[in-house]
Amino acid sequence: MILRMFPFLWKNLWRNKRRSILTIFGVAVAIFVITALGAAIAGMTFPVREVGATSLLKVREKSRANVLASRLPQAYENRVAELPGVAGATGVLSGLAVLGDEGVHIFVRGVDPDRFREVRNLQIDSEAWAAFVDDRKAALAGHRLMRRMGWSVGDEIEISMLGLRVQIVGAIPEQGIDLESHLLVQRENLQIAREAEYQLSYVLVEPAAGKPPAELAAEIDDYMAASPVATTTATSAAFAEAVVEDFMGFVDYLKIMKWIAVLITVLGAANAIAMSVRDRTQEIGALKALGFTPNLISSLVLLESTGLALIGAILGIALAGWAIGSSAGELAGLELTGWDVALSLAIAVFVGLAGGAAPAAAAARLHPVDALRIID
Amino acid sequence: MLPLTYVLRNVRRRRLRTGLTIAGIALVVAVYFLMGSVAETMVESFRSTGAPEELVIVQAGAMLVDYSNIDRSSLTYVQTLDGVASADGQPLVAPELALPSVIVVDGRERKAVVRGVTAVAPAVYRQVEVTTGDWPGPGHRAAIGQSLAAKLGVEIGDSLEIEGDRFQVAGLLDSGGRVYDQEVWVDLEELAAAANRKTYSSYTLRADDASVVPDIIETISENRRFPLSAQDAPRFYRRTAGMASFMASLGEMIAMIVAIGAVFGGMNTMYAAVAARRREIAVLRALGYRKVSILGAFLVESLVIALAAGVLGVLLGTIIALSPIELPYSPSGMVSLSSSQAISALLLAAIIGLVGGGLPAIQAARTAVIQELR
Repeated sequence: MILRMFPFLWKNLWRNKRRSILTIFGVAVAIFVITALGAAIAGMTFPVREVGATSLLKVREKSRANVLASRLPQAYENRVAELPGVAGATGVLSGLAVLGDEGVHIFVRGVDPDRFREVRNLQIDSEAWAAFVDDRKAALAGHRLMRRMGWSVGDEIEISMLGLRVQIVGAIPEQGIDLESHLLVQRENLQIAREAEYQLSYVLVEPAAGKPPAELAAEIDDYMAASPVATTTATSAAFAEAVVEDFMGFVDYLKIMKWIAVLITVLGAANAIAMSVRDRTQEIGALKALGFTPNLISSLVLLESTGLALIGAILGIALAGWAIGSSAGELAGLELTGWDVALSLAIAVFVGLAGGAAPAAAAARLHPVDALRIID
Repeated sequence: MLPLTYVLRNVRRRRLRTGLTIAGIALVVAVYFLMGSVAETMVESFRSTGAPEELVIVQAGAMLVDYSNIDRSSLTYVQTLDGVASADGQPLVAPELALPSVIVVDGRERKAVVRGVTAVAPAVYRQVEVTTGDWPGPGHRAAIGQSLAAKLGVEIGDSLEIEGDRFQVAGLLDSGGRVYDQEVWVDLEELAAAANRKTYSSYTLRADDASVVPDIIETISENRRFPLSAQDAPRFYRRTAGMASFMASLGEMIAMIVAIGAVFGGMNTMYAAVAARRREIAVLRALGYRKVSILGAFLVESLVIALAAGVLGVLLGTIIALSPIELPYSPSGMVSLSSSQAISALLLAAIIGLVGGGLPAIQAARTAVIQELR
């Protein structure tokens, strides 16, 4: 029965074109904001999601929240490696540079190739790896970074900010870790370029099988407490969370904005739908006189409102997808997740149902005699 | 002209519809007001820091002072540059060791920048004053920025743990809301020893006047012995605001988009108001009211609705801003609301009213008298 009503619904939608279009635009803008906010929040909290649930520990200089500001003596690498409960340890020197006219931020990691590969369990083809190990001026680039920068294997690139010139000898393939968007170089090369000889940003530690990471972290810090540079050890995930924590206050405000945008959408849509039902009082009376049941009539109103909201939502999501996919959006680190799209669609359905509920109930209650008596 | 009472009575005629519209626009204004204030609050300390005759020198390639490590032997080179101001025969070059650190107060940890300075600091940083107590110095005497002191509840005489060492608060820094208000200043050598740093992070330098600043920047960039890079201090601190200004522009953008959405909603309501009153408008026209009066009446009606919503929105924004969320980069930790932001939010409400009411009002003015009265 409802299915046969679709042509009727479709016609109704376009009877007051202006109102329908304004409603759709209103919903579209709101859904755009909701989706874009979700993408911004996802983009800002990416460090937490990227490192995921790895059990690797990061030993960094105590009191230094930012890894780029942390400095440890290179000897710490071996001191940590010799501790009981440690399966492997490798020191990393981190650098950050801005490249190109677009100002793309890239993370450069200076690593000791073999130790790093073992601890990090890096998956990479053996030819690229051999080339990287052999040449002090070689670099491996994450596949995401290569795509974004338009680099290919064999390219020689200059990172003038860090005083670094390297040749890309291979790509780090998809493996679900942050290295996919980073640049790996030989540690010594970066140390010389940054005047950081024999210095590390942090030591990456792999706990021995069966050793709880948190317990090991405390033991490492205890052991290092008496050294010239005290350390703080945490899982990579905890570390990333600490980085994000700095601007969580702002993210909280973005979340509040997101829910206000939802509220605005509901109000706007409810208003528009109520208006269109009211305009059609007589017609609804006629339908009732023809024998339409109250249930059918309220379903029709609800379907119409949900349809309007969904059209708006799809428009809004498309707009957001376009903005996020643009180079400016990618640069800002925005990320459109399936979750955000699903949430936006769910919100649209909710908006349609909530906005249509009151008018639908009113329409269902309408007595045909009253409705038809109205002389406009 | 149509009397104002007619307009006001119309506003009250369809309470539910008008109420929903007011609520919608009020929320939009709240978002705009709040995000605008959030954006302004986050960048204000960076924007105001640095005088034009001040320079900040960091390691070439270091994006922030945090990542900069400078060989100490470059100090003499910087001190002898042409155009460096001096006082009492001493060049006004302040070597600094600025570390993003975690300080501990009463067992509570808190992230803050700790800046190690030397005795030349009072002459170089003219934007900083010590209002109570003393400048930082040897003997583990620290001075703490007033905003940070307020956030931590720290007073003169209290002790802080910095890089594993105990420091005593000897003075309060007041830089009028600039970044220094959120830092802790200590003696450079003591900080270097505590943090095991053999380098400086940066120099702050005072030039004779702003006109020689570009020359100094060029000289430093051409120097081959020390890989340093210099910038005038205002630009340096504005650039340091990177993340804050990115977040700020995001906030501003969201506010603008939401405002566009609100225009659609406002238009919808006003079109409905016009449609419902066609006959009435025709009667008014027949009575001799001019088109301009009708146009004006609808515009005023829409403005009244929008402004009422604007006031509500500003109130709502203020309430949300009182929430205990700590805003990053904010001098007070809260969103600071300014009257200029409130005024621009009300202005936005007025624009939503005018644009949203404009087309419907024109339609109203064009109502065909004969047809409607038939």
